[in-house]
Amino acid sequence: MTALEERPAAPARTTWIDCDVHIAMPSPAALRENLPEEWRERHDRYGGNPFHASLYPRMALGAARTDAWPPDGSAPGSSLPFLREQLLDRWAIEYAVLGPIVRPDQAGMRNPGYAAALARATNDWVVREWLDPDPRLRSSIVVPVEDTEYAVAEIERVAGDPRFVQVYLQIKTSAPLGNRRYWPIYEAAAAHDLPVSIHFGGVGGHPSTAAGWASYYLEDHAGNAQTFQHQLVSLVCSGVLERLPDLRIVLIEGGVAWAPALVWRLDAAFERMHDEVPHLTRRPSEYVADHVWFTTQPVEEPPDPRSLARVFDDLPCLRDRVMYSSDYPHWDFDAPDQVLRTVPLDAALRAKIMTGNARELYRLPR
Amino acid sequence: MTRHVVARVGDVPPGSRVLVTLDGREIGVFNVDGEFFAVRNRCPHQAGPLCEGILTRPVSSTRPGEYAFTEEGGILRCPWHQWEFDLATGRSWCDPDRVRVRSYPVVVERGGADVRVPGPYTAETFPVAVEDEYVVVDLGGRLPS
Amino acid sequence: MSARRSSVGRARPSRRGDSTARRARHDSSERSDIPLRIDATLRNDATDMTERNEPAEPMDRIEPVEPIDRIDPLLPMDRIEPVLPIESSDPSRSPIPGVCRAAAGWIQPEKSRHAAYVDGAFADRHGSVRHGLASGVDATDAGRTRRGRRGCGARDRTARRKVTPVPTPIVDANVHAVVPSVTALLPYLPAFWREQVATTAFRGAPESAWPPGMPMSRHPDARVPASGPPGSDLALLREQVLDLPGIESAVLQCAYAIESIRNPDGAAAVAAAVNDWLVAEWLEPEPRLRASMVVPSHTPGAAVAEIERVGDHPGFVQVFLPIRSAMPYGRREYHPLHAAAAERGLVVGLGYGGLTGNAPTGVGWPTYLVEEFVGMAAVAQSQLMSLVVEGVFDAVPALRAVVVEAGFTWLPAMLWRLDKNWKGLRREVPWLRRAPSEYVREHVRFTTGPADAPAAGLRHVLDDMWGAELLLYGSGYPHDVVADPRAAVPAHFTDEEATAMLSGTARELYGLGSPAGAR
Repeated sequence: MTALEERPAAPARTTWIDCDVHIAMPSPAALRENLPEEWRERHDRYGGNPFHASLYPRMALGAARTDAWPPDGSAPGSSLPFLREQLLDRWAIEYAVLGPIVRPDQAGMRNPGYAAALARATNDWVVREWLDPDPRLRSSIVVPVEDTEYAVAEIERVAGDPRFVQVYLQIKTSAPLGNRRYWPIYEAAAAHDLPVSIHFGGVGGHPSTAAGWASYYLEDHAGNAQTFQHQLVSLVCSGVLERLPDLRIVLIEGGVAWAPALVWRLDAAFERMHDEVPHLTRRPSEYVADHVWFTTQPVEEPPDPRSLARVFDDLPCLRDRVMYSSDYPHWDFDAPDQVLRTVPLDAALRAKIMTGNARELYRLPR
Repeated sequence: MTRHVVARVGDVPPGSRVLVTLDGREIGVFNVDGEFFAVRNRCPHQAGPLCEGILTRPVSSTRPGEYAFTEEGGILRCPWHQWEFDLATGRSWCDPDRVRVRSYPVVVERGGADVRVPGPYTAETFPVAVEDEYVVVDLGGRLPS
Repeated sequence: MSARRSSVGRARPSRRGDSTARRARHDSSERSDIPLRIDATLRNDATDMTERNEPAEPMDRIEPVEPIDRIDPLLPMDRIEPVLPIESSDPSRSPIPGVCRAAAGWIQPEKSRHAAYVDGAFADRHGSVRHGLASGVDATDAGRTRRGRRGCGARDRTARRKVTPVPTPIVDANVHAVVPSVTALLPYLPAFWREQVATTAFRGAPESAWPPGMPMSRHPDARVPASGPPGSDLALLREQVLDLPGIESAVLQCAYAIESIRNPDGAAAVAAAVNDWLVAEWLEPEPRLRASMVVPSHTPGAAVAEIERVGDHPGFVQVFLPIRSAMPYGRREYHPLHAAAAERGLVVGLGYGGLTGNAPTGVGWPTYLVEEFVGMAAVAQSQLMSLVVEGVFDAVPALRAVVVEAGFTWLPAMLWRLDKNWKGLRREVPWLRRAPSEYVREHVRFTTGPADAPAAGLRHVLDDMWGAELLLYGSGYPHDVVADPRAAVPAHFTDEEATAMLSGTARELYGLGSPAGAR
């Protein structure tokens, strides 16, 4: 098996800002090495306590592209040279915003000290192994989301490094994200001018749907879109967007096309039930327009690509809010030059999606 | 000349594959139970390197809960999105009429007058001996549909 | 689909007399000036809403609770019994024609229980036969009704518009029958459960997914009966829905939260009581009605038993499954339920509701009711995915499902995503023979209310979701009050599409009789 290196490169003038690229530690041993000494033994003994994650055969090892395993056999997303080869160089990615896979919510968030130690270890590893060696990379601050105090402390600890461009939460949480217990996280983020991103997945300790556990990964995966809807409803109705006018929310890997219908339904319900949420001074659609960004992948693929273009007519704010993402190295990766190829977007909108909106949101220099 | 010798038969045992470049096109040649198939290494979906994917068998079902793993036939799953393609036809499982990978006829021939084409790598010469059998891909051919 | 704000003005229907005299039929001379248009500008008018708002009814008027606590538990049961002697072994005295109750309190089905149903129509108590559907109804007052309904200014608006006549009757596929309180069910409950009601705090379903005070539970125009909450009174239903011009029939939904009764036997008994109540107090007196039966949805085996018990009653056309459930309805435990429904030609109706005790989201409890209301659409998406992905429609090809009152504008985006996923993950669910969207198109329909999309967006959605095929007009009364159902038809629909939405699809789906033939 050879000759892959002969694949022609994409034209150099087209660039992308990829808003969802995953990195992982190469092995469990590496994770242990990155933990501070005082946590290693407890990590060995108690770190294996699972949090009842949704475990499905995911039809692809590690939910990764089959070709994304680095030559040395380490985990997908764990090798910077391989990331350069498969993504950054191949498509002339101007910036990639990293989402570390090692996450305190996945590995024992019930112990707040342990979750905080994992977060610190991860963020330091990101700086050392990724941000320092490659100037194209930006990253997301991993926090122990269920312990607000520790989460805020971690934001304060690393927010001074401008290469951390957002706070990183997962969509599955133990309470809806509008819940007031999470507000200090938003306040800290807003104080540091950092968006709060909310990414597909995570482990909140609840069945995957409001109607119980889905049986198949197909449902579980697509069903994340419903969890995004619940979370957005919660964030809007909670009033946190009213409280923090500068707060920016980024919904990562939830898709986009569901947004207009959700906003319509929210507005229609608000019309009749606004007195229940008197802290909202504007209609839900206005909060969404001012505060919420979306990344594309896994972008909905209608049978007629024009349908996807119409989503931007149905919710015009999306023109300034949708940002390209690949989700490399996962199996549901959307290739930069392919994914919206057939969608009839005007040139200005295409440019916004591919680079402009992300550059503005994350204040990325040219 | 559209016929290319890509390998000795013995070098591509059942279940294995070779990836070759013929006339600038990357092509994967697969041995499925002794039968050879050749498809373009470019997924018609998002242009992923299809021929680097998992080579497996068809799975079918007659009712919820049943997984019938057929012990014959070759299914190639794209390494990116796991779309399935039937190696015998190039057709995708999900949209067989519209989503197809370019596939090429493959024959096994004994070395001789017709089988002298150098390949598979442009930099090398592929020695063809009369007594051996070779896998020959016909880039100009079409599979019977 | 603005059912909420009709573009033909909003004059309140005047009180009128005897409902049978008011049953309207279609009058082409009147019909021609009904504008087929969605008027988005009329939807979001806060001033208008304020003006229409009536003061909320005090809770004690909405939910008059029978003073059951004061009933002496030591009294013999027949003293508690408010209506009928349940333990009668005489079928003629049972609340369901042909259904008698054994002394133990369990209902025994009997062969002759459909005796009262004659060829597409119910025999009324006087023995005469009335047709259940409006096709042959006398039209003497149809014109008067129409004129009475039109508000000031509507005529001018109408005159400016291209007018398309829609020569079709209307099926309202979503109106509510609200159980006023457990008292109403006592006549239909077995003795054991009547005793539980009398001697404990057991009140049947403790609450509703439609809290009576919630604005969504009662449109300002929905009148409150003297005797119970909105939606609990047949006379008002006639007045505000059935007697609207063109309405030929309506499908009752009962969102009584059977699933909130954890005791599976209690849930089964209450479900049976609700169904018998629906038959005796709604279907029998009003032949224009059909109903969704309720089942103990958290106990699939008992739900099947209930479908077997009353599912053959011609008044039941659907099985109501609340959208929120403890486990998704596609799971294999539910396949016998779907099969039992399909065998009888019953549609599975996934309706707004579901008090499972579990959180109404996949991430725990939201803070506000409005979040639950909006979120129900997402849960409906989860359920549809489950039905398709688990192969319910492969296992039960005759099954049809309707998503009731949980919106539909979310459907295209959900299907685009699910189809995309399926292309990569199909091996996990090899029983699916086609893309998920194709199953939905073939097997699933949606009621129209409540409206939420602006006109342009609505058109996009309908084009993307085969809207003309998939929609059933449903007002949601009393959650909504629609003065003119025809105004709910999207402006770009052709006459054929309008007909399908207003009645054609519902007739076919529910086997409603005329003119295509009885079920």
